[in-house]
Amino acid sequence: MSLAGSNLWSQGTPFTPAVSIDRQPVAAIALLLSGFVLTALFSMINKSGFLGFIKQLFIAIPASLSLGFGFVYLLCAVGVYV
Amino acid sequence: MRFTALLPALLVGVAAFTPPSTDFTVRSYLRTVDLMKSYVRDSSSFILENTGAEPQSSFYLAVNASYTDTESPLSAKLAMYEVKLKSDDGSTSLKYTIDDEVNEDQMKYVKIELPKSIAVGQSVTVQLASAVVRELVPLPKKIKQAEVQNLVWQGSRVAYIPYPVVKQRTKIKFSERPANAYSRFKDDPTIDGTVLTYGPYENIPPQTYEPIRVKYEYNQPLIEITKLERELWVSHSGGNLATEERYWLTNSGAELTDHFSRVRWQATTMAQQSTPALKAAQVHLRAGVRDVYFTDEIGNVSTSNLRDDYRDPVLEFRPRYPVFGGWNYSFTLGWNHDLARSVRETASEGIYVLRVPLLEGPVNAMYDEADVLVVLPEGAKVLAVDSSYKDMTEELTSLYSHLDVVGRTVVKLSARDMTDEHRRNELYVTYELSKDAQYRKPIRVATAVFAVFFAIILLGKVDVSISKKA
Repeated sequence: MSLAGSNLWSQGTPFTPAVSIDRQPVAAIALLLSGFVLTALFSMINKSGFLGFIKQLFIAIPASLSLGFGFVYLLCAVGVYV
Repeated sequence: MRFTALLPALLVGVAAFTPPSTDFTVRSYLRTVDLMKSYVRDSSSFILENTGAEPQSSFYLAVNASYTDTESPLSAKLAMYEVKLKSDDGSTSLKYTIDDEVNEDQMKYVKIELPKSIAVGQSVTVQLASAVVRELVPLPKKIKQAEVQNLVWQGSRVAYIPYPVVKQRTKIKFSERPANAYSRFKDDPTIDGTVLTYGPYENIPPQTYEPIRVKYEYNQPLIEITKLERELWVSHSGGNLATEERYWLTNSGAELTDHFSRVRWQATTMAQQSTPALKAAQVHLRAGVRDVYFTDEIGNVSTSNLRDDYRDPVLEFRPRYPVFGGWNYSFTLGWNHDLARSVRETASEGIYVLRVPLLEGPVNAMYDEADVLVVLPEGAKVLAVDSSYKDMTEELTSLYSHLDVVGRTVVKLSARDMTDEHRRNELYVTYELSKDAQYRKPIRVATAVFAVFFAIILLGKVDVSISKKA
């Protein structure tokens, strides 16, 4: 039986996720924690002037990325494989 | 429908197409009818010799016309038909087409193509395997709760072949004991253990059909799944393949004459008597299974057990109540697998292949209708869908779930009339998923969070003081 898929299958390499299933809870906790720490930092820094705005932005970007990835891995860790 | 198809042929007085019976002669035809399951497995092996005048590149067999009749979807139907050519170096599957025309014996011819033609005087060994669902009927139709169920099978004691047969035998196999009642002829059939043998017969003319009836004990449920919805959820970010299967099951065995008696049922269970009611069913799962669940409309059903064998994990589940003949039960089974077991990355960037069994349902079940949905990640592009099982309709749709904006790509395959043996058929889905599509979901959440941060920054800039600053 020659199926196109089976040929590709036999030549392929097993899929490797960015974070393996057993490490998802750790990844979620680490990312969310760092996200919350950055959020706390965001609320504490000096906001005045243009420099303050740039500082806020530089904390907001990694904070939101960290929270974004953290939230997705949190979902995966609790079994909602998005 | 059958009659209307026949009518023009009768009116004109021309017989429907008949394959020339002089082309071949069949030597030693051995047929095995397996009555050990909810469905009938009818397999044969025979030697086909070209006794005609010319080399032949195809030959004909026949099937019961009603088995392929689409007018009545819930009658007995052909679930599997496979013709193989056996040779010294293995066997090859042969292509076949079932003719539309119905002949005077209510049969349809099946044309089978050979990979290379058979010269005059040459012979080949052919193996035929088929399965028919919804063919077995209980007799009597209604029984008492503690009574033993009997089934009836009707067929022919010789296989219907358009060629003369030199020697033929039909074996009928039963699971427990030989038939209680069966058609008898002079010295025929012979019984050996749980096998009933009709024949051997010699020099049978082409197109012979000699009806026989067999009544036998089958004190097990006839598991008929009227509908199955099987969903396979591929998650790249989670590295997981989630399977969820929703079943609508019925026991098509003998119904109860009286009301169900709980006391009698307890007595039957205590005495460990066999019963035609469905008490428990087994599902063979693939290795590496996790998080198995069994639920129904009420909620979680606690009576299930996963025998977590390394190679062959088996899920045994017990419905909330014994499913007697004519009773229904609908439920859901689900489990997870690591995606690495089912998805492989190909040499070309961003192209993946998914390999899953077409079905994974309960042992000894027949299916009326089955939908298999492969839910791919959002943004995936399906390149190819192929399976060794061809009798399916394919549809591309989409579906919304957690954190979806454009919807996940869904391949929906619909099939009818299958058996649990179709689990051997594999399904391959080749799809493309770019790297940025894989990170779309976390980025989407990150964007939403960033929007909140940005709003806070902007709101912080608003001067809400009443008086001007000094």
